[in-house]
Amino acid sequence: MHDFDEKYPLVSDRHKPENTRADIARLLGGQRLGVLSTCHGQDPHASLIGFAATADLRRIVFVTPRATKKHRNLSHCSRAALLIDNRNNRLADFHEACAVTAEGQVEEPQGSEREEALRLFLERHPHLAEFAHSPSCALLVIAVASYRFVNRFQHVVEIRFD
Amino acid sequence: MTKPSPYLSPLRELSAQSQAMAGAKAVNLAGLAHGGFTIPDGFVVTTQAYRDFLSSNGLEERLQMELNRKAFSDMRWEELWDAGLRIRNLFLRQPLPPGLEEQLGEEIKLRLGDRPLVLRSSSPQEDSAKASFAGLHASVVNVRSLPMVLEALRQVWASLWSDAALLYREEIGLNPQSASMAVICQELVGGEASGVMFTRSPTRPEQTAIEAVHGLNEGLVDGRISPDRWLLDRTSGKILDHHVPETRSAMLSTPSGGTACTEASASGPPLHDSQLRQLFSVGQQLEEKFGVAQDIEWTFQQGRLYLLQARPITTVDNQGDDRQWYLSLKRRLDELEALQPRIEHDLLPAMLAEAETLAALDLTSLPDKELLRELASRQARYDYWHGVYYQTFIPFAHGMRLFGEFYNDHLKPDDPYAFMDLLTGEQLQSKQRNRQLEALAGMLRANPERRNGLVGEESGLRDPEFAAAYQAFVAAYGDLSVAATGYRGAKGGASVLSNILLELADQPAGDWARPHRPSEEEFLKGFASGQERSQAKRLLTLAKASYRLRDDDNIVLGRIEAAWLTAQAEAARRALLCPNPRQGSVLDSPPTAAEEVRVEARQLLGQPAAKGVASGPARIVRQHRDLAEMKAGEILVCDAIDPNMTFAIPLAGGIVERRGGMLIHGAIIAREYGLPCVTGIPEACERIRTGDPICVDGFLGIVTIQSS
Repeated sequence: MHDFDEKYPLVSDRHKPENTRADIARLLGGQRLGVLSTCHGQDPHASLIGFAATADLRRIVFVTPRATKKHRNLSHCSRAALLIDNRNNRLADFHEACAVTAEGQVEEPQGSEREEALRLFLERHPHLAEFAHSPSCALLVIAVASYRFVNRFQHVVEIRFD
Repeated sequence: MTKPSPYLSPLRELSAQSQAMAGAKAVNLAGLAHGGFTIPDGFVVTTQAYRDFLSSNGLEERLQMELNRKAFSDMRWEELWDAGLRIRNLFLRQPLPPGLEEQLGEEIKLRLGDRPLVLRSSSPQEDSAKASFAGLHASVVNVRSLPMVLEALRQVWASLWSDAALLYREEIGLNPQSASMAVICQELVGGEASGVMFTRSPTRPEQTAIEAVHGLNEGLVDGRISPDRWLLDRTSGKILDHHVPETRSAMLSTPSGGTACTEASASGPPLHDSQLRQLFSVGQQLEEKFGVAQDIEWTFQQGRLYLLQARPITTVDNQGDDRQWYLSLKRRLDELEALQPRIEHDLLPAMLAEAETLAALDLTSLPDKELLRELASRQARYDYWHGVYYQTFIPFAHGMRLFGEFYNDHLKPDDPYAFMDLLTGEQLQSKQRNRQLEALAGMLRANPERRNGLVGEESGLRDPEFAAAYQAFVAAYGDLSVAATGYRGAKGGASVLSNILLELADQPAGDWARPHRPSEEEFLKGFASGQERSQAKRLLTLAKASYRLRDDDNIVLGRIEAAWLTAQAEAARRALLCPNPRQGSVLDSPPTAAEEVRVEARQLLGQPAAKGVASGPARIVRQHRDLAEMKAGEILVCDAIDPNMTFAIPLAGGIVERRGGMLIHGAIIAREYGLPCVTGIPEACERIRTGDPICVDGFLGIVTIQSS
């Protein structure tokens, strides 16, 4: 069921940027997984990842093994999109579900910034501690440039940070 | 109780409705107390505490991820042990739910004072089993302080996911979503005599069987101590038979906690006739109370009979069930210490001597009839030694596991396999052979003419110095040729040995430095008491021998197998064999034809068996001759690392193996060479092809296959 909707009725119909922002924050806070889109030349790739977003929504953290296709694509083109939604594979999803696409530049943080990102990620995904600490994995951050929030089938609102 | 708590409940307050929260064993004990029988005082840590322990530490999903790494049906028993070890280590490192420690401290103080305790599993699932599977879960005996109680509590919780429990997961209905564990915390009644009683003997239904030992019944229940055994007539109680064991031992609690086994041969039988009659009478009463024959654990302390457990008798049909063989591999430290000299001084030298005798015989000079006789004899000898390998050598490998559990219990490392670092760098036979191989390669590297000469037929062996070294190697280890290690037919040129030497010679000199081994002294210093330090030292010594011999036994068995295969090859050369002779263990079926729609693996999940990351082209080794093509930096992909294959390891960049396990031969070899290794990839040789660019992630147990 749409726990997220029941607990936090969407408010973005009021067309205020702060309400859209609140809806996005709730969606990001309510979901653990999203679909990351990367591309290298003519070779697009989509993959399911666990993520955690900062409170200001400007950064999204995820972890990937360095040997994966998504990491290879990102090393050639550092721009990526991440789709997060709350569908339940029911017919009602067409009118009930909402989705947000974050788009931005992917970076590998260092030092204290990395530590903070790792803390945020493990707070959300404590069961992925071994994975996140593995030397074979990269901890990456999407510096979000924009969000496109979709509900009511085709109602789309965009927030830009640049 | 000091105040009501969802985590603790006195045993005597439990009822038949308490099973979901207190488990079957605790409810049965309460039933005994309500029936007027004496049980040791105590309380139960409820399943709610277990569930809150999981949820407060985010363990539910970690448990699920661990148990879903691969299908259970694809897991070998070694992999179940690995999973059990990882879960145990995970449990030992997590804090308890808030408030539990304080509540436990108060309850123990109020109810049990400073008496020694025993913590026993009480799983609600056990009752749903059609049969009783004693020993799947842990009990911790002689616990003497609150910190020890907290440790023991975690150990008993973790035993819900022990390898034995995972083996019998279907029978006991073990399901990660619903499984739970309550823990009984009782006064340890250190009786003078203890034992078990079957009110109806499983083999003679008209009799009651009573087994008894001096001291605690811990050694009897887990099979470590042979008991006195009485058979009584079920109707009259008349003693029909008394079997006296060859030696009598006793398990006693030690002042610092835990137990120790002592000699008790000087003592007479642990029970006298009046105690036997009392037990028989209690058995009859319990059978009447519960309506079915009972399996009862008991102890006498200062003449008073305490009941420790009672449950319906069930029988298990173990015929054709190799799980019992696996569980029998778990030997005690003293048993394994006794086994070591037998392996090291008797069995391995005998096997080696036989391998050398067999290798010295010139098969080409034998008449056909004698060759076939020799072939049959060698096959029989290989089967014999293979049996010894399973019955004796494999159980000895449990020494590493004993040490690993001890290490993790005391040090609680991040990496549950950190203990292996203390074992690497032993003088393994395969490494000694490979050092000589590298020395030969060094001779070629130093002299390009010599190297180029070896490319041709036998010209490389015209150099007398190199030829002498080459032949000395062949005399010691065989020429690594196609049929088998130990085969001496090839004369250089195109042999496997020559190919491997040429490939090694084209690489920079091998780095044969020993892998970093942490200081043993530092490890031993970590134990405060002399008794613990002495135990740690014994276990470490045993584990090092177990680690070393795990390689050596494989190498020597490989030479016996080689002798058999060499005879087979000679018989085949003379066309004396029928088609499809029995093949050696390296040989495998060829790959199936490509399907019309090709499904390609891109990322495969196995077990991280040796740390590190390596990328390179895959080299699938299905047959021994595939090794001849091995190039430096390739990732060796095989069904299982065979002793005949380890000479190619210095060329490999990493190892991928279908057979799973952290302590298997391939994983040990990988660690010795510092190579990343992933084991337990189902159908590795079918899903990966020679030349595929792959990446071995030995940290996470992932193999990535890049699209070309």
